[in-house]
Amino acid sequence: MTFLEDLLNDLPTLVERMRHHDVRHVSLKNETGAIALTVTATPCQTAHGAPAVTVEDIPVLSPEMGRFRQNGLSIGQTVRTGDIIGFIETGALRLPVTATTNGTLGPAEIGDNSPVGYHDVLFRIHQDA
Amino acid sequence: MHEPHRVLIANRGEIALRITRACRLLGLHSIGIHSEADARLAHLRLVDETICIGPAAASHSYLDAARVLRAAELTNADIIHPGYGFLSENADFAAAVEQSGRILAGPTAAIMRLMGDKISAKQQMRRSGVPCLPGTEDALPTDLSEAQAICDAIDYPLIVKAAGGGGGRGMRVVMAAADLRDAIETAREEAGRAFGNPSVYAERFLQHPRHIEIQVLADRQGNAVWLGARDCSIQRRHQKLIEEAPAIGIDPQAIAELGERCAKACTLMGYTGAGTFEFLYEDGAFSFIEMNTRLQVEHPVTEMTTGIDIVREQLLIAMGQPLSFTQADVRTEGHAIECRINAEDPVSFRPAPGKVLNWRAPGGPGVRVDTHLYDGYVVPPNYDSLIAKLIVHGTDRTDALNRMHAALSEMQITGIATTTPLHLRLMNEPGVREGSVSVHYLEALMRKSAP
Repeated sequence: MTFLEDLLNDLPTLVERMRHHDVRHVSLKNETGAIALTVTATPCQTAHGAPAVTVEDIPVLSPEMGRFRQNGLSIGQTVRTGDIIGFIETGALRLPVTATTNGTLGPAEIGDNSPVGYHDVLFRIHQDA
Repeated sequence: MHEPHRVLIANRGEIALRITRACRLLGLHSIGIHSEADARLAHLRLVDETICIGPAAASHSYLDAARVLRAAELTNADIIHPGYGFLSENADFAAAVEQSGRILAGPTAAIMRLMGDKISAKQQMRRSGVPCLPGTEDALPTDLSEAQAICDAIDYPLIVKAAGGGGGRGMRVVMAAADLRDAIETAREEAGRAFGNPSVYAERFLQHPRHIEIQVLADRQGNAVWLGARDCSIQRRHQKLIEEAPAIGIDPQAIAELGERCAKACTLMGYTGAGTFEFLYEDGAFSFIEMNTRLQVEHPVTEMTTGIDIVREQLLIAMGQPLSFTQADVRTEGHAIECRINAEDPVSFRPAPGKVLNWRAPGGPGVRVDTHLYDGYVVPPNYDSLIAKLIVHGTDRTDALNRMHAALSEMQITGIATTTPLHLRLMNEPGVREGSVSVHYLEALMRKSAP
């Protein structure tokens, strides 16, 4: 198989991983070909009738003081433990914020690009039953 | 022109509340930072913005210069008020604040460095005509015979001190010439280990000095004033417990001359902000010990006697405004005393953190309480044990002592041990009633009454 065919086969995985890590653009090339991928914001996956997120739900804390960056996720989206659901920029570093449980994501408690304190609550996740 | 007006308060507890009050008075936008253990601090309800900068450990929050600066960037602060302790006398922090284009409410990093090194500070004082203890101009030479000759000329008893030190480390008292070599060697070793700088110097050791200090304020236009003297002789292990203003039993003319010299020294070195020149006073002579290039815990006694809001002035100076008064306008009236209320066992002085069940503030004419306490406040074990400052102002010293006794009896803090019982006792001690005690007074008294 050619490089391009390989890549096209892996495209769904690649796009998913780009979304996961908030990578918006990738260019790849070798002697046989080249490809450039640009990913737009994650499509909305809100499920109808998703349970309302309440304060008893599992909080997701900011790992550091910094600036909060959303990852294009929406309220009601299904997340699994370890999924990257946002980022904290602290100086040159970009720290991932990961889901602490499997469940349904509540609204971000902090606006995109807003300052956030150490261990501030960023999201709450309604745990799967 | 861009006017700085967003003030980040880089401290906690009572002093953070004190600075918040000054910001509100001036209509400045205030930003409170806090550690994870301090989310319920009193001033955080009053500031315009808050941000948690890190975990409870001071080394990862209030003492972490990078975090404090990041908080200033995130919140667009243009002035940083460091309070006292933590980063307030850290020249590297001051330099980083300057480099970030912000203003520190205090002197420049260069001045902090100059005054932070005991040897260069003393040299600067000598140049400005501020009296110093007889002692070495520079660090003692490494050659012990040379050092011996220099020290013999100073005469004994003398004290060998670390140039970069403080807090009693790298410090040795030498009563006679024969003990000098050992003292220099141990002090050098301690200083090298504790401060990364083995330089030591020697100066005359006073046996029964009082601690007298001069408060100064200097603006960016080169004006400097002194705001009277304080007596802070009631100490334990170099920690002040009771402070008062003015200093009694000393010729006011001598204090005025000293104050003038301190103000002149500020102008000469280009000092800006609030500062304190600390002296030992013995046998009618003042000797410079060090300069504190920041606001001090005991500033309220000066505020009470002069009517000048020192924290407000600090912020105005940081904003680039000239002092609104001259030396001729400074008057001191009556007598003020401050008792430091610490969350400590009043006998062993062991820290006593925990939950304050009931807090009842004293009141009445001439009574001021600077505190961040409230019912249910939990004193964390991570920081300094100061939880309140009780300050009184009376027509004279006796009146002030009586008011302090009444206020201490009225004040109620339940749930934790505090130094209040000790203060109550001290207000009736003959030594305290009479005044003019030496810095060894309290420790001698505690030894005498120990079981």
